[in-house]
Amino acid sequence: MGKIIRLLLASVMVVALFTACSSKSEQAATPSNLASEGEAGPSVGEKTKVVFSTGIPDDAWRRALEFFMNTANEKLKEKNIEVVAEYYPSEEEMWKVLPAQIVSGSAPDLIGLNNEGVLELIINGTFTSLDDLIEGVGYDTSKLDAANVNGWKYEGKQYALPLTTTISALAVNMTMLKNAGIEEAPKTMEDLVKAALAVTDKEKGQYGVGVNLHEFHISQYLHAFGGGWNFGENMNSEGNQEGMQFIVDLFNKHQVAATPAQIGVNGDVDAFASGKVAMTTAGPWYVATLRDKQVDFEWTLVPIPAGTVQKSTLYGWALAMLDSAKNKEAAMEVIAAMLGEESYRYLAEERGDIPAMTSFVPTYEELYPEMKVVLETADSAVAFNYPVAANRFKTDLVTGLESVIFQNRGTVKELLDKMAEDSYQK
Amino acid sequence: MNKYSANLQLKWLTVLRHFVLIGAVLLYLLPFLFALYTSFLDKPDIGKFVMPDRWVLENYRYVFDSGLLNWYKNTAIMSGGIILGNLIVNTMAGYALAKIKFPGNKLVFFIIIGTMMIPAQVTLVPIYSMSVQLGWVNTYQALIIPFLTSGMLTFFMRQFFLSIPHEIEEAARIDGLGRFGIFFRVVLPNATTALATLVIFAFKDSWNSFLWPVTLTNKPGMHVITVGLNALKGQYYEWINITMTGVVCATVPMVIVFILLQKYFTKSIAMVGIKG
Amino acid sequence: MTTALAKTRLSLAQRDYVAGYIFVAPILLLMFVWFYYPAFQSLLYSFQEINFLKMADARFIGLGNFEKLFADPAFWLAAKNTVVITAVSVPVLVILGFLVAYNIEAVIRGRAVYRTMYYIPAVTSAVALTISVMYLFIERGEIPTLLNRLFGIPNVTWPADTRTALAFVCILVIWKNLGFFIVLFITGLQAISNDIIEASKVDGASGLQRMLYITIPQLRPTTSLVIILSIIWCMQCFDEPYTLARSGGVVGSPAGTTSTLVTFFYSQNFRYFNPGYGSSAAFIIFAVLMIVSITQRALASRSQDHA
Repeated sequence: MGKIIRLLLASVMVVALFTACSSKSEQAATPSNLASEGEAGPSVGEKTKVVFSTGIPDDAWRRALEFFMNTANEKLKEKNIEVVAEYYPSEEEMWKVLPAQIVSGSAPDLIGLNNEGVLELIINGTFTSLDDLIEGVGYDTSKLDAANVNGWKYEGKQYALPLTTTISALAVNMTMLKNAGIEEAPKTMEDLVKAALAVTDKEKGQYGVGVNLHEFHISQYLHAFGGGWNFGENMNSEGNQEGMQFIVDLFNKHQVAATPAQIGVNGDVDAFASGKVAMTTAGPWYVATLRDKQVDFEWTLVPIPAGTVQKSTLYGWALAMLDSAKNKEAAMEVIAAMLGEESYRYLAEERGDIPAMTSFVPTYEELYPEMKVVLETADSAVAFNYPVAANRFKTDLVTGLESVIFQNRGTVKELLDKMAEDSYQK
Repeated sequence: MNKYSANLQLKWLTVLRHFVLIGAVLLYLLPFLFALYTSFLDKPDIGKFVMPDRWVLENYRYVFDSGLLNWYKNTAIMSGGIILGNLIVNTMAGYALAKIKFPGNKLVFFIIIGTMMIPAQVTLVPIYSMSVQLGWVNTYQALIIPFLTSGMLTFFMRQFFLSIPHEIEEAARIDGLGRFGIFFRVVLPNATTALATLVIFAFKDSWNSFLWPVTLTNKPGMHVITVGLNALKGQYYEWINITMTGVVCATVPMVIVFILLQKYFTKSIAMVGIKG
Repeated sequence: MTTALAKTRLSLAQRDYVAGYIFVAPILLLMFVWFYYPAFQSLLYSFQEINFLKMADARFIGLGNFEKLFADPAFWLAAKNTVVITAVSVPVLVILGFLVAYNIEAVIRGRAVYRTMYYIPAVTSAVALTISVMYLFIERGEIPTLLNRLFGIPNVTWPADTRTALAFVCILVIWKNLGFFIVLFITGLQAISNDIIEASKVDGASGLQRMLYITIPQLRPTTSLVIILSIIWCMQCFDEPYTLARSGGVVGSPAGTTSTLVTFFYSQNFRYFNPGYGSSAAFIIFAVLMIVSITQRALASRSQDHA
C-alpha cells in the first residue's frame, strides 16, 4: 500500500512540476515552435518554413490546397523554402485563434481568405502590403484578373493576390418556372417578382425566391438598385434603401420568399437543390455542387437581374501575408509559387472555380458552360467594400433586417440611418 | 377498500406508468432514432421513409474512410488523460473537503466551485497563448493538462464522501492508519460507484468538447471526433445522411460506456443527494 | 514523504491538516494555473478598451465597458433571453425530472432499462442533439403540425422563426439536461429511508399523500442541487444557439432572438475582436451566478436549521 501512496504522490508532484515549469520555460519554448510544426525526423539543411493557415471547410478544398502547396514545395526545393499548413475547419475558427497567435508570436505567415471583410485587418496593420515583395520575386500580376486584383487594393497598396474569381449570379429552377407558365429566366427584378408570384405555393412549401439573409446575398439586391457599402460611407443611400426594401417586400408584401433556415436546410445551395425555392442569388460554386447533387430539375445560372442597374459582385479567394511574417521574402516566394499556372489549371479543371488567371478562364468556360453568361457581366462587376468593422457590420445588418422583416420592428430607412450613423469605422 | 381491489388498482397504475414511461422515452429519444434511421439512407432516399431493404452502409464507409479511426484514437487519448487526471485530482480534493476540517477548508471549497460560475469560454484565448508559449499546440498535453480539474466533479465527490459514515474511518484510524492509508485502503475501495460516475461525467464532457480541440490543434492528424465530423460538412452544402452518420458515430461510444458503467452509476448518486 | 511527516512532532490534528493541504494542493495548483489565471486575465480586459488585432494599444477605461454595456440593447436582449431560458427551463427540468424519476422508481420491472434510456440524451453532445432535434421542428413536419393543431402555435420551422426560436432553445436545453436530473432524482429517491415510507403506509397515507408529504420534503437536498446546477447551466447556455448558426450564420439569429449572454461574449470576443467589451458581459454572468449561489447556500443552511 505504501508503494501506491508514494506512486500517487509522485504523480501529483509530476503534475505540479509540470505546471510550475510551464511559466519558466516560456522564453525557451518560443523559438522551437516552428520546428515542432514540421514532421518528425531530421531536417535537411536549414529550411525556411513558411506557415500557411486557412479554414478548410471541406475535403475537396483541402485536396486543392494540398495540391497548390505540393507544387509550391516542389518549385521551392532549391531555394530551401518549404510551406507547411495549419488547418481549421472554417475561417471563423482561424479568426478565433489568430489574435492570440499574433500576441504570442506564433501567427502564421500566410493566410488564405475568401471574403472581403479584410479592411479591418489592413487598417490594424495585420496584413503587410505586397507591392515591393511582388516586384522582388518578379511575379507578373497582369496575368491575373484586373478587377479581382484591384479588389484587394487599399489606398493604392496591394494586400493579397487572388487564386479564384467569384462572380455573383442568380440560380433559377427552370422546371419550376416552366410549370408555372414562365419560359424565361428573369432579367429584371420585376421579372423576378412576377416569376416568384407565379411559382409560390405555400401550401406545398414551394417558394419563389430563397433569400439567405447573409451579407453576400443581401448585397446583391442592393447593388441591383445602384446601392453599395462604400467602406461605410453613405450607407443610407437611395439605392441601399430601395434594394433592402425590395427584400422586405419579397417576404412581406409579395409573400414569395423564404430563408434556407425557414425551409429547414443549412444554406442557400441546399435550399435550391431541395427544389423548394425556384430562384436564389448564387455564385460559381453552384455549378459543381448541383452537378454533385444530381438534382432532378432543369436549372440555369443567369446574371443578377437588374433593379435599376445590372450589377454583379466580384471578389476572390486570395493569399495574404501577415505583417508579423518572420521571413517576408520567403513568404512571398511561397505566394508566387502557389499562384503558378498549375494551380489555376487545377482550379479550372478539377475544382470548378473560376481561376483568377485570365488565360485559364476559357478552359473553365468550356468545362463549366453554365457560368458563361454570368462571366460576361464581369466587366461591370463591383466589389463588396464592406466597412472596417466588417463582422460587427454584418451582424447588425443581418439582425436588423431580420427584425424588420419578421418582427415588423422599424423600417428599412431607420435601420440604414442607424447603421450610417455608426459607419463601422472601428 | 378491500385488498383485492387495492391490488388491482396498483396493477393498473403500474401498467399506466409503463405506458407513459415508454411513450415519453420514445419521444425523448426521437432525435436519435431519426439520426440512426437517416444514417442508413442512400442519397436519393433522403427525407423519405423507406424500408430496411433499401438501407445502405455507404455513409458509414464514407465516414470511416474520412479518418474515423484516427479521430477515435485522438479522442480516446484525450478523454483517457482527462478522466485519469480527474479521477485522481478531483477525488483527492473532494475527500479532503468532505472529511478533513483543515483551516481554510471553506475557502478552498469556494475556490473550487467558483470555477463553475465563470463561463469557461473566457479562458480560451489565454489558454491558447499559454499553450503556444509551452510549444504545446498540436500535442495531446494541450488537450489534456488544462482540463484535469472540474469544479462540478469535485463538488460531486465531496457530496459523496460526506455520505460515508464517520465510523468506518474511525475504525481504520484505531487500526493505526494515517489519512493516506484511510483514503487509499478504506475510502477508495468503497467508492467504486462514485468513481464510475465520475468517469462517465468526465468522459461525457471531454468526448463532446469541440471549442477547445478546434482551437488547440490545427492539423488533420490531430483532429478529435467532434472536429473531424465538422469537417465532413461540405463548404456550401451538406448531406444530411452523412451528418447524421457522424452524429451516430459520435454518440455510440458514449452510450456503450454508459451502459457498461450504468450498474454502478445510480447507486452512487444515491449517496450524493443526502447532504446539501 | 510519509515517513518524513511521521518524524516531525506534529499533533494528530496538525498532521491531519497537512494531509488536507496535500490532498487539495494538486487541484488548487491546476485550477490557478489553468483556470483562474487565464480567466482573470480575460476578466481584467473588461476594464480596458482593446482591439484584439492590436493588443499593444490597449488602454484602461475603468467602468467604460460596463456603462456601454448597460446602454446596449443587444446586451439587454441577450440578458433577457438568458433569463427566459433559465426561468422556463429550470422549473420544467425540476418538475419533469422529478415526475419521471418518481415513476421510474415506482415500477419494478425495466427500471434499469428506463434509467439508461432516459440518460442517453445527457451523454451526447449538445451539437449532435441540436442538429438532430432541428430536423424534427421543420415547418409542416409532424411535430410543428401537431403543436399547431393542439395549441395554435404557428406551423413554422421553429429555430428560424422569431416567435418560436427562443422556445426552441429552451426545448433543446431541457432535452439535453433532463436525463441528468432524472438520474439525480432517482438516486435521491433511493436514499430516502424505507422505514419512513413503510411507516407512512401503516398510517394509511395514500400514494399521492406520500409523495407530497414525505417524498418531496425528504428530497429537498437533491432538489436544491438540481436547482443550482440547472441555473448555472442555463445561465451559461451557449452550445445550442451556437450550433443553430453553424453554417456561417449570425449567432443569435433570427433577429437576435436566440442570443444569450455567453454568445454575446463570444461574438464580441471572437467576431468583433473586442475582448474588453465581451469580458464585461462575462463578468456580469459571474457576478449573477455568485449572488445566486450565495443566496441558495444561505437558504439551504436556513432550511437545514429548520429540519
